[in-house]
Amino acid sequence: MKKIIAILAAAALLLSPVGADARAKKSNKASKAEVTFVTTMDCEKCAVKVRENLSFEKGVLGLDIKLAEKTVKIVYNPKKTDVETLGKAIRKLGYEAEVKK
Amino acid sequence: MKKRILTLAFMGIPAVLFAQMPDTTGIYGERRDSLQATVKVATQAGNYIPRGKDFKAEVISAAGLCKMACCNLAESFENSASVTVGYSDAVTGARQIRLLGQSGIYTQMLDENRPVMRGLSAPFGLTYIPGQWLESIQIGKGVASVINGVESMTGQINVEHRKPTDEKPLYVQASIMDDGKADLNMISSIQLDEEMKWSTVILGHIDGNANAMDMNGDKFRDDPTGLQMSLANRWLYYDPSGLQVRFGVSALQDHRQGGQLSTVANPWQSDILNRSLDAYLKVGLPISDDSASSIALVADWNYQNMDSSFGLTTYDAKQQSAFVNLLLQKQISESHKFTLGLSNVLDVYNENLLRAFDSYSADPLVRRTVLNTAGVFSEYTYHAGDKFSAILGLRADWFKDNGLKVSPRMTLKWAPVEDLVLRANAGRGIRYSNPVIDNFGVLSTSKVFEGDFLKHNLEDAITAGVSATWYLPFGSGSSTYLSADYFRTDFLKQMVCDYDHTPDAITFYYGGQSVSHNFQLDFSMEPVERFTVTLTGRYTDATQQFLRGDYFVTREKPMTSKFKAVLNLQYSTNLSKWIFDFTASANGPCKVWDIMKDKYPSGYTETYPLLYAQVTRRFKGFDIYLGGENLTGYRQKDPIIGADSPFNPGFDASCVWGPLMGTRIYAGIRVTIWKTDKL
Repeated sequence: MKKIIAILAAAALLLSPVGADARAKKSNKASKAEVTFVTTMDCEKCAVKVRENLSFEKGVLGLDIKLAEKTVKIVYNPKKTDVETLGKAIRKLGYEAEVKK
Repeated sequence: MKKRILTLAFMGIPAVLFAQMPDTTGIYGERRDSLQATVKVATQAGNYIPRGKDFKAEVISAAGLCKMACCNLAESFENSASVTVGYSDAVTGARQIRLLGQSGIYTQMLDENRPVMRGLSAPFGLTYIPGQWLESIQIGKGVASVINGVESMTGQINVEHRKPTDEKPLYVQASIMDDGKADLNMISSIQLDEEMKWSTVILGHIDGNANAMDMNGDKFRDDPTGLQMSLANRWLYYDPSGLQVRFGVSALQDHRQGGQLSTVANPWQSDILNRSLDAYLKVGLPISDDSASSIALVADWNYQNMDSSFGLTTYDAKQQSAFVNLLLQKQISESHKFTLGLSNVLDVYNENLLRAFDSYSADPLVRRTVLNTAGVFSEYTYHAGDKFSAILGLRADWFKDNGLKVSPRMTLKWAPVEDLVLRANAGRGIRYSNPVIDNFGVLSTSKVFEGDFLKHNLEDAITAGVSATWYLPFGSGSSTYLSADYFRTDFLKQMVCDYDHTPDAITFYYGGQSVSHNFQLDFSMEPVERFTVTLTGRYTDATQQFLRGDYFVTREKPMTSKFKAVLNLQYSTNLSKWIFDFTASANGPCKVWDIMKDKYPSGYTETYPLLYAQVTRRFKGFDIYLGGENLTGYRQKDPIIGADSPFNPGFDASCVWGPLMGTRIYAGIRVTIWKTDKL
């Protein structure tokens, strides 16, 4: 039982930043933009690589990766990042990335 | 440039390799499926039943392997109702699985479709594959393709390792449990040239348990102490012409000590030192310009050395095994494909067994055994688009000392409508029995071995089953399904390890039929985005014939749990920065051996719950996680019979049906360094 209490307490401690994240998001709610890149990623693992890395890029709020179309749609906070930085982040992973018009 | 090379590689892959080696190398295997379907890359499901496969398989993905501590393969099945994992005994830490109500020895274990964990490496094999080395696990019930051999009787479990082509130069995982058990894995995938012709993955693992815990006060360690180290190096070479070569080596050493605590005078202890070496080679080559015809060679050599003691009993054994498979495949048209092949499996055992306890010492057994199976096989596959497929296979195997045996196998898949898939599967499986090793727990007893415990008789079974999987149009994602299956296994001949035949003895004999019926339901859905609910349940009805006097008597199969139900909930926040996992299972009762009836007057063990929870926080390049196993703290009470006098015949540590360890809290970290590439 002590162990269960310990794990619940630890989980609560770990959880507390979730609330902080949510509050931060709320204040930035108005600052949302989106861009879609057409890339050269051509395998499921490539898409996973893009997802795993872009998810943690500064200012990224949402991702929608469609492998069949080779597209990466990014919802981002324009106060924290821009299209050029996001494109660079994809290219750094080894894939070409052009903004879809 | 990179794209062009990858395209060439894909076009040139010998078709036979998809049958023999469906390795998802990240270049071609997955890519072919991915571009055929509209794939939306979202958070990966943990356990799921993939669409479109000829054989129904339950897949435990990389995400599924991260749901729990998953220190090794044995601990990777907690979310699966198909597979039940238990201990062989309460001393050595050896784990065994059950599939379709039968022992795991009848499930063929494959490493990227190469048979592994055979003979001496079976008792501890599940604990020797680190969960973090794996990319995925596929569980297939029923008999499998004839291509991988004849030994699959109730199913197949195939593990896919992390690939040389993974763009992860470094992956490190470390975890620690509150009882002091620690685990470290380091994996490095390296592509040696721009064209990715040569790539390699190096996998290292070390785990140890230094604390001798005795939570139930029976003066026996609950878990053995010890140190395990393993190292593997796997290579992939492919040429745009279509040639691909895979080869690798691995080495392992594990030293474990169990039994009574050292504070006990004249303790009954177990000391096991396992060492193994393994090398393999796979070559696939197209032999026609359009890659419609191809040949493949799969060769494997394995050396296993076990030096062990159990009280006064010693068992020292060596096994050398060689496996060769040669295949020719011809894709005649989109609809018709033929495979022809030859195979040979050679096992050479050198054993030295001295069975002894207080008042008994058997004559030492020193022997060399050679077992060989040479086979020829053929498989025809018919595809009518995605609507219908039929795989008809036939093997003829010559078993040394047992002659020729013919094994037909068949798998049908029919999708009457797009979202409903019906499958049927039937066939025969045959294997050499290995009575003592197959029932490794018998060494942790002080009972006399009687009967055919030295014989390697053939075991022969027919398994047949049907399944229906219905992909449902509701839920947030496209992954909602309801699946039902029924499998029946009939053993025509089986080695029986009988605890009730003679008092204070374990009797081995050949004969007696056993039948198991297995029903399972699986349901999975994502009610809201990023929240997955998986519910699965299994019911097993298994009987076995036991020799009583001159007759066989049919009894419910002992130590086989009647049901298992598992609920898994997973929620991840936006961009999977937080992942919460919760798993609850109810594990049904087992019929006990008569010798256990003093403790279990009803003749059955009790149903018990297991709860697991884990929280993962993900950052750029690393994850940290905290979790708990067996949160209700349920443990089998007094798992060792006769623990007070372990050198007397009443001592038996092999009657284990439930958890031996209580609640354990663990924490870990996973670090990934991704390959970056400047165009």
